[in-house]
Amino acid sequence: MKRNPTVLVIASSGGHLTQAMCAVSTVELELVLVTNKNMLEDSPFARIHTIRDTQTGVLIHGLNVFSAARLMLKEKPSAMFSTGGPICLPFALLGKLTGTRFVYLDTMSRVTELSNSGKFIKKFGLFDSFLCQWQQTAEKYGAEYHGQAFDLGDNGYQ
Amino acid sequence: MVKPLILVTMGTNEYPFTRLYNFIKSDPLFFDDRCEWFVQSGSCKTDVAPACGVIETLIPRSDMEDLVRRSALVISHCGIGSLNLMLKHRKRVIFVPRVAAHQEFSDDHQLQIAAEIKNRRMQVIHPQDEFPRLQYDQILEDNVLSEPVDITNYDLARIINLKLTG
Repeated sequence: MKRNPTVLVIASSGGHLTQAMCAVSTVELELVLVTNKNMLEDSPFARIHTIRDTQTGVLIHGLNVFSAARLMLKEKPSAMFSTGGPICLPFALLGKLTGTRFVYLDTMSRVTELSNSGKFIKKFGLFDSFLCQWQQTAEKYGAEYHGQAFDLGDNGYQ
Repeated sequence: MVKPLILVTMGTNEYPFTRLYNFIKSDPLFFDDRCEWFVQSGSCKTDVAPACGVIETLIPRSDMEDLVRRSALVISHCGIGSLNLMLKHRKRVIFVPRVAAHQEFSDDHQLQIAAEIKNRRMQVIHPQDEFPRLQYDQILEDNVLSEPVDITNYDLARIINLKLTG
């Protein structure tokens, strides 16, 4: 039986995931999440997978390449989307190697420069689309800018 | 009368935020049972509980959202997920950015995002600042439930959708 197209969303728990959930809010394909800690109960995701987290641990990143390959074989995504953190790096690499579309939105929390994951993905060209949420930073790094995942303004406060 | 809830949130990252915990436990309202406290402490070690309330390390996202909705005042690290929740629920917030100098994060990006907060009901405590003395009357005045607002940027979401499906 042919499966529905799936988008793999890769985002660490907390702010990265909050931004990812805003950013994919109009995607009508099946969404599957890969995260480091599953703190979600109700969510738009059909399935949630967890993966080991590390900032700079080369061994963990190496092991995560195999975990990511296994998840991609299982889910067969038509595209992948990430807002970081570092857990996205193996998926960006495998996206490049397998020709699976990888769309990256650098986190809003880095205002004046890209995140470390963003710098790595940009430097090695491991993306099909690379977006930044701050205009000046997008210009500085040659990234696309289409605004922020959510509105930082007054939002009707009294 | 329902006690006003003061919510403290330190996020999910692995760096302990002891400075924020020390701030709150040095405030007399921490030991005043007219207020209820909920402290989400993350990896911060805690030794003293509030007079009324609990300390939990991590809680499900939906529970956190419900606590934010019910809170009169939120005291929070300056993480982007927390900022999103507080804007969505239009809360009065005291943000304390984590800084590398106190080993609260690997860098000072929370100071950068704090500088972008323009909301009148959101106060930022910089590393050189004193933590303000909490005022019970002010907290009582802010003890309101309001409907959440949708702050998603759907223009960006539509562009992401096109990139993923087009």
